[in-house]
Amino acid sequence: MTSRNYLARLAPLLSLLACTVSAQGVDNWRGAGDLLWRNGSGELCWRSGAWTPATADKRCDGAIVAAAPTPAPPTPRPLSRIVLLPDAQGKVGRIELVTGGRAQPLEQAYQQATAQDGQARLEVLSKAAVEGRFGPLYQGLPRSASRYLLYFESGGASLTAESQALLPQIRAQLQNYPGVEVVITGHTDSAGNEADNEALSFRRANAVREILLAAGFPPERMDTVGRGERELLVPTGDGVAEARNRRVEVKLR
Amino acid sequence: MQLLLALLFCGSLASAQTLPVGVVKSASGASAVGPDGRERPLKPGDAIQLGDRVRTAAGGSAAVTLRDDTRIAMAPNSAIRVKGFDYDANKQQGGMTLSVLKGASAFVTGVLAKAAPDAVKVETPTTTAGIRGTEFIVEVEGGSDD
Repeated sequence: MTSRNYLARLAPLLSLLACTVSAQGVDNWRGAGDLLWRNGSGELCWRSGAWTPATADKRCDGAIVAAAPTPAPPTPRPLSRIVLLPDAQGKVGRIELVTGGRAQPLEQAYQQATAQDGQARLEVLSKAAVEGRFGPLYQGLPRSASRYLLYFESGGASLTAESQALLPQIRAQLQNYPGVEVVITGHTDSAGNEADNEALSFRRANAVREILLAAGFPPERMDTVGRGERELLVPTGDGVAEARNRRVEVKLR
Repeated sequence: MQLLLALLFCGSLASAQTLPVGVVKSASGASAVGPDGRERPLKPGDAIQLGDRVRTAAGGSAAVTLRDDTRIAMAPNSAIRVKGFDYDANKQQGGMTLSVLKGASAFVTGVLAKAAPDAVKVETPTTTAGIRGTEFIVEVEGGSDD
């Protein structure tokens, strides 16, 4: 019989003491200042008769040891792929990749960069592989914008007869663009000074806006832009009157 | 009379409002989460604003056009964020930063990618791409849309 068990049998006699020194729910003996009563060599704690592993002080022999938390499954290291595609005309753009401080250009059709852990690996995929993988996604792109040019009778904001005739056609296109936006961009020729042309291009855009409003275009989805003489349709020198440059572009997207 | 003129002036300013950063063209099982954390389901015509996180559910999809004509399509289980967007339509200048957080999205650049070499950036959890144009796909595995 160990001295520990001997003392455990004396527990009823010592219960008064035990009650005064025990914290609630712990059946190892504790003294003042949370001091545990231990055997001489220190590896065993004194217990009361009511002791069970569940009521052991956590620091004592026989106490239930909480299972070590299961390690979280390793989070997958993120990986990114960027694939450069040719556009509708077959032209290929360019992407400057910077991965972990290192710059690498993507400049070939169907070239793919795979970036992970601060490094990017480049390879050129086949068109079939890219279409097989991303075809449905690509098909989901919004349709490209439709553009119409409207021209004015000289010296005013009234449309030419040809441009007037375009309006029903443009209006019919609205339904082909869910959530349609209409961007009206005014342009001038290079006659006159830049500031005046800037203002004039806005006046032309706003004139078309009024016409489209009257034709039932959605006002909350219309935007007017003035490009002044910055974007000549027919390139000319400065100070050249050119009817084809005095235009308004109506873009549906 | 002056008040009336002022009101008329305000009215004309308001009517010349600029379009939102983006407009939803199609959406199925898609939502946007604003910088305030509020999530709203998306339908065609809805606006996408700066800072919005657009996400698609499993089986969902979304297509969005940005103000500079950038076109975006999103695959199921994907998320992107409009991190930066600044576009002056009259000068055709500005810049944008898009984050691809998760899944796959296809992009066709618009005016801004032509404006300046470093005007359009796409970020992913593992790399940064400066976009000179024009069409590309970004896919992120192991990303999160939070």
